[in-house]
Amino acid sequence: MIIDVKGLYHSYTNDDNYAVKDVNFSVKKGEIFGFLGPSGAGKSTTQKILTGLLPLQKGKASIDGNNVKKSPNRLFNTIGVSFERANVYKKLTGIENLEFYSKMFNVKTLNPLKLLRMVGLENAANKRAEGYSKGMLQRLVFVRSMINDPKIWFLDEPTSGLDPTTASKIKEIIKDKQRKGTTIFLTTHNMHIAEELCDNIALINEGEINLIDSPRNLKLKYGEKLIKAEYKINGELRKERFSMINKEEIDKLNEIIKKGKVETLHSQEATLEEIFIKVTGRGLK
Amino acid sequence: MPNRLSGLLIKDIKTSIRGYFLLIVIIVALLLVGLINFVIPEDASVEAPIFYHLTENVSNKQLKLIIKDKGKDILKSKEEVIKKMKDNPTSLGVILDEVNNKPKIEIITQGYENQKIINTLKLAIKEELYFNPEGMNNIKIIKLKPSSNKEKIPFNDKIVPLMVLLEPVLMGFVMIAALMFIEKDQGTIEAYRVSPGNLSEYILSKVIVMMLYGLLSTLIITIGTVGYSGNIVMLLILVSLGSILASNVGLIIASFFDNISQALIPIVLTSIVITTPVMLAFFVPSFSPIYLEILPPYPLMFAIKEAIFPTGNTGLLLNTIGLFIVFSLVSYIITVLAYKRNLIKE
Repeated sequence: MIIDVKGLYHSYTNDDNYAVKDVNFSVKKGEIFGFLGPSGAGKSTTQKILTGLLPLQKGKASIDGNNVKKSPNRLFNTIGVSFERANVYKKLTGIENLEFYSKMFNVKTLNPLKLLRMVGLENAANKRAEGYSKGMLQRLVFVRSMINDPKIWFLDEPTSGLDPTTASKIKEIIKDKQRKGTTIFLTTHNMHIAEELCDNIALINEGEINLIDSPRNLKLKYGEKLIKAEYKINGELRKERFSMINKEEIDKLNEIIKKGKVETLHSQEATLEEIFIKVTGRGLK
Repeated sequence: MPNRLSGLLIKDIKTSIRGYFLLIVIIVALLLVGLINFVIPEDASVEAPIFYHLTENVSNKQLKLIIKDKGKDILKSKEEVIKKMKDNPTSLGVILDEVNNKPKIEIITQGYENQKIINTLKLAIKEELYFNPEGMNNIKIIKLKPSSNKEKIPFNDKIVPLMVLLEPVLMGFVMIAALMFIEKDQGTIEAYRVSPGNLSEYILSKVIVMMLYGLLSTLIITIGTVGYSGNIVMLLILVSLGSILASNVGLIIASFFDNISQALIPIVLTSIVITTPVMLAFFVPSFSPIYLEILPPYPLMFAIKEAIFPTGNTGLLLNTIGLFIVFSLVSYIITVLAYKRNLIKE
């Protein structure tokens, strides 16, 4: 396992008020592992502990075999971290930010201009970051985390505040990196990105992991399969959803189909958000 | 590491220049040059002329001796003395008279002189009358260091060492904290912490940038006022070490606070507590309580003075440099530890 976490606890107030409690999970090499949960669920706290930004108070965590409590600085040569917050030097231009950051590493780094081009920032390369929009800053933070071509990549809400086209571009880059063997730890409250990208998802709420599984398995286990049908009775068009695990509803749908009254028929799956609500009792917002 | 430090330096120089730090340094240095050259007088000594009148009754030889060298300050009548005194508000008047073969001396004051001045004048006249027979003034003064230019330095130039201590050296005290808080506010320090760079290089870069600004400010102030005179190499070494120490102390204080508005008052207060007695000691050298001599700016100020106006006291320069190398190293280590503790807490 490239990331291994056992019995992780963290309290910001150094008491029993834990921001994360008894968190256990492991991530395989080349996997995209998603941490799905609402704001304040403990996603960023876990990521901060793993990247050394918060001290490991209780439990065990290792990255690529290195205990995060004693991880050497050189380990960061193989790690990339993209923050949700646009923490770049506002007085430096986009390219200056990347050039500066590339000098911090002891390994070969990627070409800053090529990276900016990947996220459509090439025309703003020489513009100071203080003049960037929120979305541009988010893209700059994202490509900065790629500068050392990381083996393990931590992404915190990578598509937050981005328009659908740019978000799609970012998702493509993430998929491409996975194909090249990068392990990705992704924290998000966006069920679509989690569903689309992640091999495995941990549902986290109030500091605790409720479930870990692949999106498909989660849907199979916890999602209720539905059929949405539009049919006519006495000339009147009706819309109805039929559960595929409820015998009565299956029979009712069969009856409608037999009578040839169906206008449209669609299968429907439960969304991750519905599953999240079912498991945790609260929504993702 | 050299690549990383150069990257940090380039970044810190660029961000500080674009954040108007350089502009502030240059403007303040130029203002100080203007202040020293055009506002502060070359001679700040306050002359208090004394006008004399010797009445016709005087036959006493000693009384006549008092006004022997007074020339134009000897006036014909008491009224003329009073009139002259009204024209010159810092002046005093002395009327020398004789009654029954005994000297009678009248001192006319403006009314706001303190008792010390009046007593000094009384003593001077008494000395002239009773203890200064002719010939006693022939006291020869021999200077062991005739090369010393102490007396030739104009008053405005004399305060250049103090300005160098206050501006280029102590400037880092406040500015480095501001630079640090800007980065903390932007969250860029978090991004740095997930890179292989370490905290010691991060702090060192900022300390070096403040030192460079200190050196620039020193060159503007000294060249703009006293020119290239003095031991410029020694001066730059002293300013560099002083700036390193001041920057480290500024950072240590800042490490206890979350933002610049919280840290500003403690930083300014510390700065006042440290510099006020040192300034006092500069203008009144006899003021040197033991606690003052422990404060690093105290020896530094006299060493800077020696570098700008050399008197040949190389020992003072070398001792101060040695002392400040130790101070700088120790303060740097404490700074790094303080920030490690501070960042872990976060």
